[in-house]
Amino acid sequence: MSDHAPEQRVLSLMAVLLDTGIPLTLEQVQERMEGAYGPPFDPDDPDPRHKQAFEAGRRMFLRDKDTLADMGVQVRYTRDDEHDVDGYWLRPEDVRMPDVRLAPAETRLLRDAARMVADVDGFPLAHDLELALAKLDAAMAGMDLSGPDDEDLAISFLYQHQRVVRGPDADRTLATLAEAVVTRRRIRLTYRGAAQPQATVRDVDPYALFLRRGVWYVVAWCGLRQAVRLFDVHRVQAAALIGVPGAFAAPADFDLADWRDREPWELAIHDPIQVQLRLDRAVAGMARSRFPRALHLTTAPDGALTLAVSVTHRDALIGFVMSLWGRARILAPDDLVTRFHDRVRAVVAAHAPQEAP
Amino acid sequence: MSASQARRQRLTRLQLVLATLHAHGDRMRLDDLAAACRMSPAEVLAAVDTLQMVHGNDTGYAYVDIDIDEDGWVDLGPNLDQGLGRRPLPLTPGEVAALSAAVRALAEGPAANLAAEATAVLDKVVSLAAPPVRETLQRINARIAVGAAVGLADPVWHDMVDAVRDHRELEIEYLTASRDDLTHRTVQPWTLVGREGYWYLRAFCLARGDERLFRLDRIVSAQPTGRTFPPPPPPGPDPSPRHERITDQQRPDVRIRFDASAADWVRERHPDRPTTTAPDGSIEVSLPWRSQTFLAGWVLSFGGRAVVVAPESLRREIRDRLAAAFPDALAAPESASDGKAH
Repeated sequence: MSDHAPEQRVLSLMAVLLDTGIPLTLEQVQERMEGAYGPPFDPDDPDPRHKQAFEAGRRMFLRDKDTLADMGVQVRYTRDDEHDVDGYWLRPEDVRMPDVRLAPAETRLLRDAARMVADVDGFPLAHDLELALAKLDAAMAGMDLSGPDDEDLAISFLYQHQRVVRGPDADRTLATLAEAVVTRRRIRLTYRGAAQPQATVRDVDPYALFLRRGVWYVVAWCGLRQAVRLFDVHRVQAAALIGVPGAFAAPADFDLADWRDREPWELAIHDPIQVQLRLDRAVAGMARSRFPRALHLTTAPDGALTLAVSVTHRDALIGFVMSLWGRARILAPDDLVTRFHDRVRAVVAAHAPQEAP
Repeated sequence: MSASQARRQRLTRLQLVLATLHAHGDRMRLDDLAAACRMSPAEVLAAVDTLQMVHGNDTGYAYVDIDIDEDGWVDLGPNLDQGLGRRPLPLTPGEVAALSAAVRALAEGPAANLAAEATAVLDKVVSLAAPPVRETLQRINARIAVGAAVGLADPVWHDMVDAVRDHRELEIEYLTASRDDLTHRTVQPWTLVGREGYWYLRAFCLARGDERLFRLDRIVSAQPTGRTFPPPPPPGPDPSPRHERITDQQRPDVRIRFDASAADWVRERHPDRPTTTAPDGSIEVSLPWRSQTFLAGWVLSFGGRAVVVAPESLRREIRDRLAAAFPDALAAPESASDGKAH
């Protein structure tokens, strides 16, 4: 083979392994690949350069096999009893997408969904999404997922999530984190948390990655803290893949929504306290959008709601209630009411009329 | 993208060129083939060059019989017996995760009524991966997410989804954040906009004679007026209503001081704004603004960690409105804890 461009070499390897009816030994692969994986091993050849060339070729073969595994193509190493040989091979079904049984409404849903996230800033799987749609197009030949907008599209909407916070080398960091989540590889993070003077280096197992209100976050088991932690991606100074794929599994009960839907007053700052909150009718919609896990206690004739809310960061709740100008009130516990009043007085005092210069 | 991801995607695209050609009867126009593979025509030309060099055995013959003629047609010979390009490759974990994130964003947002369908689609998507990775995928396919569910299952908002689809005019009761005022308006609901974790109704407001964004959780009630309206203009790339895009260059910026615990937050979100850091770690920043009342509410959401330095009109609005909203707080005796965080 005259040109050993990596893509051509890997595709040729696929073709060789598909073309054979029986498993091929490494030697046979080397032969059929015409030197792309170095010379076959010859135990009688005393020249150390030949041994080195063999080793380099063998390593390249193993790397290409890993690349194929990354593409979802598993090269098998099996024994063929009939021919009494151990070897590598690919079955045609290993390289073919199974039959796609999506109904037209389902393909439209996929297409709309893809269009919806296409503009999400920093979405680290944008290329994967494109490739997936192109593969589905080819698999369904004629059902064009990129087709024109449908007149009877179920609903008209726009989706624009801008990343408002960017860290150093943001796109590369996100791509690394996404790859680690998808392939379940451990990563080494250099991370400086809010108000921490120094960055620390820690090895983490990333369970999930999400964008919320302009910030990308990663949820990971942190080897340094020995606990599951939430990291702001923009505070990651460096991220490197260090483990092998499939190195960890998130606990079976891990649910991304538990982390993604957390409000500031649900951050784990102190032990949970139960708070009773009153929301006027005008802000009752926030009972659903901001307090979906609250216990609804009463609805007054004027439409006001009373809720019981579990709070682990009381100052964040104080800020939220204050910002609604009296349309929300903390009813209990008493010490939180007192704390709220103290805070209101402090804010009023901080905004007292300034003396003329 | 890491080098290994880039290599994997190049390889996937090469195989995709074959599978797409095969799916279309082994013959396509270059431009159509490029569009179907999400590649540029130049990338397809380079791919064809590479594919011509693929060998399947040691006979030296090209394995892939692919060519481009003078008229821009790409032809694939019938020489793929072992099926390198007979069908597209199975989906990879990354591709499944990407589709999954997209479908979930849709089903948790405006298409909440499609949640059951979305689950069925995701099950089918997982089945399109190679068998060895399917089990893993069941565990990771919900692990990358964009946006958040914002209660569109609520009956009021569900009606709004229908109103958008059927072009039905609505009378809404809305809490206007920029004036902290409960208003009644007649609107023509155009579209739903997901932005920064909140869902908005973009509608034509008849009273204003202009388009406006209404945050869904500030719509207190919505009733159909019984009238319909013609389909709205197609949405442009910028979902902000026109009036939001106009900035008043004459108005001086507001200056806000954040205490040290919020300093990083400010620097991260406003890297281009001028800031001054005090010895105690607090930081002062100048920000542009549109609505004084909205801004005042935003400052308060920091619960005392943010203080307006200027203008005086905003300082006055904060102290007067707070005093009016929480008279019991100002009447209450000072507590022993002096209000500092514990």
